[in-house]
Amino acid sequence: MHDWLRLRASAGAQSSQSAKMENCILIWLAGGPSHLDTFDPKPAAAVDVRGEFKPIDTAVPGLKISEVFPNLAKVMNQVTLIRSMTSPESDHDRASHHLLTGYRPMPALVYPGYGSVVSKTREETRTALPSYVAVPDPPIFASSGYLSPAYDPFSVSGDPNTPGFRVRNLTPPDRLTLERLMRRRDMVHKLDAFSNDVPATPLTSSRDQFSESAYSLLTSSAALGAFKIGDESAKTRDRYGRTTFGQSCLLARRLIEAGVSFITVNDRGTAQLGWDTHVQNFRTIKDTLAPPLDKGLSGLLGDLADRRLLDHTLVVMMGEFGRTPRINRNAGRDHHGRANSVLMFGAGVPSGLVLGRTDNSGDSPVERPVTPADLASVLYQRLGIDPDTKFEAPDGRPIRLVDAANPPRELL
Amino acid sequence: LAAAPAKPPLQISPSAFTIAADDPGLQLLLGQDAAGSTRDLTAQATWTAEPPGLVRIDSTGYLRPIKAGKVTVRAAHDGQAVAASITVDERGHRSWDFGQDIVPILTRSGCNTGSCHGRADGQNGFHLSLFGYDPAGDYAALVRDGGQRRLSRFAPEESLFLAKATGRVAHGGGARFLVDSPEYQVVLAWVRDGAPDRAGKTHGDLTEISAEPDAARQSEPGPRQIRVTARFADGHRRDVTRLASFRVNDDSAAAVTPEGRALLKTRAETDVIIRYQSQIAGVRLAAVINPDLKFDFSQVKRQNFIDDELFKRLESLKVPPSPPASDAAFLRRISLDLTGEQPTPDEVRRFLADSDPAKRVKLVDRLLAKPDFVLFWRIKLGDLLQISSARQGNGAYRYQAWIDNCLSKNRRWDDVVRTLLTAVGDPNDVETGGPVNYAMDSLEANVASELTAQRFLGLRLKCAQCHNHPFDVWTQDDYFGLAAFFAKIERGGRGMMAGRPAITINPQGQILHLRTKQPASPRLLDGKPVAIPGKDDPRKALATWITDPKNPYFARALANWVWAQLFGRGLVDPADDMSRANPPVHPELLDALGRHFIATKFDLRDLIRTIASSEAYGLSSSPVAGNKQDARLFSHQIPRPLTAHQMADALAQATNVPNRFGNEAARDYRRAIEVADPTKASSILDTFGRCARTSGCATTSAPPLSLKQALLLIGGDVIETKVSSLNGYLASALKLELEPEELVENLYYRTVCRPPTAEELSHWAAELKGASSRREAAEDLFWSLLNSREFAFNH
Repeated sequence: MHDWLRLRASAGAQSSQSAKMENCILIWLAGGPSHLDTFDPKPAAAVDVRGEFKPIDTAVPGLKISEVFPNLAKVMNQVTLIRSMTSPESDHDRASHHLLTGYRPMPALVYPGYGSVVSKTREETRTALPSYVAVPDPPIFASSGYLSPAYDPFSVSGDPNTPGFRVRNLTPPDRLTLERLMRRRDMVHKLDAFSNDVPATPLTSSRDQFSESAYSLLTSSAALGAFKIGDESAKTRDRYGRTTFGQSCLLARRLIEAGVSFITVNDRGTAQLGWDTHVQNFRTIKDTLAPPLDKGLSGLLGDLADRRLLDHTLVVMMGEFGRTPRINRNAGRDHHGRANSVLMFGAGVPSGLVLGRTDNSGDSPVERPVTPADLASVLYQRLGIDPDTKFEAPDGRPIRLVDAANPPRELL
Repeated sequence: LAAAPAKPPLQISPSAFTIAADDPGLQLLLGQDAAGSTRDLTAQATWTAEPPGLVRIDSTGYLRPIKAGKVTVRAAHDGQAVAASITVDERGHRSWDFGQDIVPILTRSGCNTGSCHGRADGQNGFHLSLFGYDPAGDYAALVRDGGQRRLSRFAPEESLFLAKATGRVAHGGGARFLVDSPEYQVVLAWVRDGAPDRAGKTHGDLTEISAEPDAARQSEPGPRQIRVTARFADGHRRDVTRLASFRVNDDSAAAVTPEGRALLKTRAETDVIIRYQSQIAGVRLAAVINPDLKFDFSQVKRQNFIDDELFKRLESLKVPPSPPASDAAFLRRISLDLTGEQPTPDEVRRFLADSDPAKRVKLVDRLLAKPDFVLFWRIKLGDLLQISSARQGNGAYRYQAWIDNCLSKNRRWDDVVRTLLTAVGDPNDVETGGPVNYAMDSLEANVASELTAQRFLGLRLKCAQCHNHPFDVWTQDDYFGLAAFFAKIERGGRGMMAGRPAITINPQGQILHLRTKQPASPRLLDGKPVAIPGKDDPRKALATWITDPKNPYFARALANWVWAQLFGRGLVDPADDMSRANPPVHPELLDALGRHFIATKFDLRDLIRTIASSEAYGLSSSPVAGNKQDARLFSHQIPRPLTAHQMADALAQATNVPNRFGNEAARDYRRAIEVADPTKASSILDTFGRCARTSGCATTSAPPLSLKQALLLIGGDVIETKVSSLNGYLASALKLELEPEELVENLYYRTVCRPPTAEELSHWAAELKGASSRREAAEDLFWSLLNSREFAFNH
């Protein structure tokens, strides 16, 4: 058996092992979605607050969400909806740091994002695939922070909805056949064996290991296959919707199946921060943002359930903040950290639960406020990570993974 | 029968001592000197005291007083004995100082750690300051708060505090000390005396601690008892061995018990760090590493004082240095380190052919004179100062241009720092804006002060913001005293400057001390307060202190930083953590570098030249017998991965296919070392770990290795397209139809900057000859050389 076949075989064995652990897909709505126009409608509020959308009934008796989510409305009995997420941060970068790490931003220290922490704690069960992947690329602060950049997400860096989608650096140029790649690998080994100018040190051997991981990933058809979204049936692809977001969710499911621990799907809409609807909030949500999310997320839920992956896959959907109750002069809404909605499902999260409530205008939580630290604690515990774990900052200070959290018991 | 060799005499320490009424006890030490190294016998001896009943002494030589009188302590070992005379003062009517007598017990017993009552919100309603930085607050918490229920003056034994601490009643933290333990006795006596904050004639503040032995060279690995002595404002000396905390810096080399008994596990050198209250001391343990080493250190070539100091240390530990690196390895190393670029094949050939014995030193001078030196080192300084348009906006360009100018003119380092620290005005001004960006970078006084201490003094103060530094001597008062120098700086824009950002002085500016909630007043790290007249820029006084040749940190910090750039690791490492708990590997060498830097009037380029010209820098990275285990003493160089800029340029230069950075047609940089601003997009620079300059970077900027890098090189088309480019080196070389041998040789020169060995040459030439496609085989070899370990590392 060729070395690389053996590597592939062992990678396969590992991936079935890690599939038993809880994995996570984080859906990030970049820019900050308006909670009032999505999951926390306020039909009784004043006209300059309630907006243009009508609430519709859902599969949970008495629970109404915005009419822009007809498909999600049908599956609300399978999810937990948190309506009382709250943070003092209302600046994109600062709030992203708060929501994606559980910590408020500090000038001297960047905290690691959830996926990087998961990647660090699961080093033992690495497969041929990277353990943390961002589709198509990570939001700011969803990275390794003060941990080693080795835990940064691997960016797919491309739109899975484009025909002929390929992942950068994962698909060798066409002229470089597998056979030739293996020949080159043998040549590198020979060169390294000849040269005794560089003695073995921990650094040189860790480089050798990364190189071997790269060869094994590039030569593992199972691992590479995870990125081949074209292998899905047209029916499955349609189930998620033929949009960047929908196909990103589908790619995330394929990666979960292949043993990736954490995937961030970054929903940018049509801009860098698509959900940042200062202008034409209603038209943008209705025409551009909501339909792919509605179809993609409900498709993901259904597909995960059909494939019996739901019990082991935690899906969390959120953005960096909600938006101001009062509609501005440009038919838009502005940044609003005080209130925000979060959707979660899978991995044993309660079904049909609505946690917390905002006041009559959606300005502030009036019941069960949930902070980003609380959410971080829930997320880590659901993934089998002790939130009291301590890591060391570069200056040697011990830092608790989550600080000052009071996670809602219903979610543990 | 031959007479047994005379045993060296036993030595006891101290031989005479007085234990005051309020002192807890005394650690005695017993040793035996032999040929410059000591054997510790403290725990092997039999300890006795006469007359009985006055003191209790245990088998580890620790003595506790019982009642007043004079005793003779005898230590006997292996047929020898030695004595010390100890006086015990009257035990009654002692003084009390809560901060000096009780707080150390809280600390020692672990009551005030971050996971117990030292947490910001305390534990079960009982909050103590972390590691006891706030004795006044702790006194209130223990004596007054909680409805005064923690201590009982009527029935001291029934005090809730003692009941909890001894585990008599349920306590989340379990029993912290035993009933009748010395800690218990002290607390009980204090409660009986009315639990005063202060009473009687106290000794004043703790001024310093010292540890004995201060440096322990042992003939063999083994135990070593440490004694810790505290000195107070009134001159009183107290043994605090049993109240101090101990830790080792390398637990593979040594261990230490809570009683201060260290154990050197192997032939090694390592530090034991001792902390008592807010003071730090260290003991360096060592056993010569190769006792039977046969190596003639007098034959080692010495270029300058660096070599004198380094080889003196290696000789004393009996660790041989590796021989000098080969000419080719040296040329590649120094070119990468000084200019960021690999030498060209021509330069390699010329250097190898040069028979001038001084060619290495001359090469250093030649490289320092190249414009590339400024290009590459401005990136290092930019990393240190975190120059980035993401931080300083448009001012970043002025800032970088100013630094470039300082580097190319070789402006005095003290002058550079003084200018940065005191500049005011418009950060975008073409003439004077550059250094103003230092203040623009961090407008919060405490952040500015933290960054200043870290960048220019190698001191990390951050921990001291919220509590006294747990691994250093810095207190919260030091922290806010330093921050106060920056409190009057603001981003103004009045009058003429309206609408434009400008750094101005606000005479009303202040920063509140976190604990006292009062405005902090400027105080230097040596404890001296500085009075600043109302309208003055307080930073001027700080800059004067920082750049003073007498400043104990400034010159050493930069010397250590430069050393780290050239060795991949500082003499103190991490290089920006020069705390007392992190002693330098070679303290005398670092001191000498600091003195040299001061004597040359803070001449940065001379410092780089001096280090780069030393034999120490030029040592091979291949270890020899006797230094294979060493990754600490600089007995050989250690291979470092190429930095992001070095890697990007080396790939381009080897293949003759340039990279392109940025997309502005006007400024389309071809070379990575021209790309200083981290916001300029480049996937190869990001992947290879260039400093993003958002938060501080590891000073040595060792690029973290990652799968991403490996994928970029192996699976990506970066190397593949460069190797097979029709405009690249290989395409043109193939057109020339070189002999396989010559092609192999050229590929080696271009990538690993050396000729192939005979074995390498014949092997690869044979491969090329036997290949069905010469072109494919040559591409494969070229690609493989660029993916080889030798190419990836600066060795």
